[in-house]
Amino acid sequence: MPFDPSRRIFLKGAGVAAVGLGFAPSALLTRAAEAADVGSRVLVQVFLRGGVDGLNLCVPHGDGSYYGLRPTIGLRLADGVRDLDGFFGLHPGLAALRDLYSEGLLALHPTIGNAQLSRSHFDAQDFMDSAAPGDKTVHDGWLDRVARQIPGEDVMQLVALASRTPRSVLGPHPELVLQDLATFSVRAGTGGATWSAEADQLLRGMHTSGSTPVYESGRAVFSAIDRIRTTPALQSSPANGAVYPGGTAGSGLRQAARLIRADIGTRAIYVNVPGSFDTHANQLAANNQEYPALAAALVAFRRDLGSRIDDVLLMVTTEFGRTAAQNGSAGTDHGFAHCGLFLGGSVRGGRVHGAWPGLSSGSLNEGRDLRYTVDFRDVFLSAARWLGVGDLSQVVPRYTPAVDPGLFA
Amino acid sequence: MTPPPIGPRVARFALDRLGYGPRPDSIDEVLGRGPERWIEDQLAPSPDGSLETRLRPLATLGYSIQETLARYDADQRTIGTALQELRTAHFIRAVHSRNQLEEVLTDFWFNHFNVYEGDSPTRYGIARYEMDAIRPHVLGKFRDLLGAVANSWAMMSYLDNYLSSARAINENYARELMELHTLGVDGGYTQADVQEVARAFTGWGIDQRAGAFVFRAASHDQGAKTILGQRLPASQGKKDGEDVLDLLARHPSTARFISTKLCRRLVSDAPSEDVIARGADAFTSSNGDLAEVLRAIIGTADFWSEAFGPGKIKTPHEYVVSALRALGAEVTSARAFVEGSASSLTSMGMPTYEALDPTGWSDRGTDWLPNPGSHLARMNFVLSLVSQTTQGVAVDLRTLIGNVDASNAAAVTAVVDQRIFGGTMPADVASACRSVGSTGSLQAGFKVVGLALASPAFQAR
Repeated sequence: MPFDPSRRIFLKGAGVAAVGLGFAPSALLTRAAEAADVGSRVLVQVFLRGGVDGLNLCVPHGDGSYYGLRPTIGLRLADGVRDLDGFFGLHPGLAALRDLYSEGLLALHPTIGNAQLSRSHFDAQDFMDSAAPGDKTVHDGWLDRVARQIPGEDVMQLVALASRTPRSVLGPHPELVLQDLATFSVRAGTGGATWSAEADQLLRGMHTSGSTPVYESGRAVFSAIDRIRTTPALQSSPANGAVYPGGTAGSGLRQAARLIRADIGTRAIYVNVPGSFDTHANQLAANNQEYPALAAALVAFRRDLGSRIDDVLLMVTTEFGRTAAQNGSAGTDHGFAHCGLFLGGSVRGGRVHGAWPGLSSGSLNEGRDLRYTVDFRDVFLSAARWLGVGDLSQVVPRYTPAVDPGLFA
Repeated sequence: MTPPPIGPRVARFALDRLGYGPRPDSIDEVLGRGPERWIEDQLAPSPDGSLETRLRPLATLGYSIQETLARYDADQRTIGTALQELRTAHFIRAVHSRNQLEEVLTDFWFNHFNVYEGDSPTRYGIARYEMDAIRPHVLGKFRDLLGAVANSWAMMSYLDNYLSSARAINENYARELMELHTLGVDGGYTQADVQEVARAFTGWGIDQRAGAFVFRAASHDQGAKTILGQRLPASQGKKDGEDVLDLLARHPSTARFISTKLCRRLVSDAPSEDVIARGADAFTSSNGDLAEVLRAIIGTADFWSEAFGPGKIKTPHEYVVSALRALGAEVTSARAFVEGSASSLTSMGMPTYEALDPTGWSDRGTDWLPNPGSHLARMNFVLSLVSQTTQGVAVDLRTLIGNVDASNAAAVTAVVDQRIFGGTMPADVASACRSVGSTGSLQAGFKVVGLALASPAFQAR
């Protein structure tokens, strides 16, 4: 990692110095965070769809029960697991993240979940996107409710890098959903630039009135075309020599970094990552295929942002974890607690958070799953608080927050 | 059945809901035949010789799974040829078949029982799955459809049941069978039921040498099981699974779940309790006869009153097929518009056969729009279509406008309104279409059609 004269390094230095002076570094960091301009902060949620197995992502190699539950798919240090703290280690395919962890920018929390256990992908993803587990009457998304509390109603404030609109961003606040900023314009085939411009004008006109979702969508298309056309930074190459891998994680984070660096008021970004995460069979192969691209995308994102990483909080989420024991197909079935990854200048990084409930048969949920220790809604709430949202009760409906999980300074 | 007074608007509505929208001559055809008879024709598909002729060049469609394995297993990359032909066949049928309802339903049920072409060995059986397990049953009995799916290579592979055995249970298929195929997630089953159903289906798998479904008695859990309170005695072998399918197919939650999904496809994103109940009752009283369920839903005021509302937002697939039909296009390859450019179905978020999850694609229009990225890809798709630059698609404007002067924007606009919109083209769309300039290499008529199909009015059905 090249030298990075970021505010974060300054803060870290200040914190270390403060210990010698008798001040608690956490208090200093908190004060510094409060003083920072929260109006420039950006929250990025990366959603890995399919129910990622946390136990082979953040490997509890120090738990005596782990290898008994997973005789052929359990990962050992000798397999290339990168030790984090003497008890947990990173999947070998995620080894590239070890530097971010050492740098204090990356934290893991391997026991996130909620009491409304759903083993259905669809329900669990929906419950998470709406932040209303078990309540199917809530249709809007948690990021939309966050965006509503940020001043302004600009379409660039809330962006989903996805091929379909995720529920997270559904609701009254406008959002931009796209896959590629570089090709976002009306392209009228071989008719030439004149016809493209004519089509743009005439189609624009057709969408000016009308109140159904189709008309709203059309107006958002043209407003986004204009914003992108007038913001050259949105077409810029990655900075600091960052190289993104192919695939949806790489492409999504590359666009996310462009939006952040362009400084056009984007405050919340959702990156949808479909992939082979629903590992009912031959899990090792699937993880080995997906994880290096994910790690490379996160490393590139961090490098691309340079010191802007201080204003960014990236959360990697998934709908649920997987069974503690392997199944008959060298895979795992739908489970309970999942593992979150957190990257950014405000992350209390370089550590694995949360109490560890253990994997002994007596400590498993229904005898099959790792228990959770923190509700995902408390994680979302602390992220919203970090972003500067005032009324947190609007972010997660009908929920009494438990303790702040302490993931972010 | 009580359709409202018949006119071009209602004919277009019937074509939009029970098919993929009008081709240039379809509205006249429905008006000529009368809507009741046209609907009965759709409920009883008849042979379509010209469709078969169009499909004939696609040799891989006739391959058995064993033949597909033999040809492509050594080099998995080359199976792309067969998958490409399958995609092309899917669009040729949707665009050209006279049995439009059969095509809509084949797509609907494939999506209901979704499998993903990227999964191996699923992909070797995906063509036979659509043609042999899904298509023959879409207007038949639900139990036959459910059984054909359960006894298929593609489903047993995709949901990992071929890896499940008495010693090593895999509960993936068992869960989705109840959650997605029959009862619905709130249909009243428990985790214990999932585990018992998984036991019942142990031994259901695939024979990779024969390229076929197989039941392996040695892998089957011969113990007794209790599922939804019903006891399955010990030592039944394959009958365990068939009993479970019987139980699920006649469960009231299944009747309701299937009716709800069909109503969502045919009526609206949020169908009324009333129309759902009509479909569910028909399902129960006809012992799961899917044509009867459709008759019940189509026979409601809920259905026909949709002809006078803002419509249901098309999925990208529906949008692309309806645009190809409206233009009277001749499709010989789907490659360019499925995966080709920034305006393909991939950019719209719906690459054919590539729904990764067992849930399939969303059947709610509002999950597809608003979405600026996908919406722009729709506009650019039709604009490139009328520029005649989409490979594998031939467009002859004469098919749509006949002898009308192609350089006369106003005259072409009038034809498009009549033949494609059934006279419902909004005034601002018509006025924009009439105003196109005649400069440039593209004829005004093509511009008119491009704008009309890119307009808000064509995004819903």
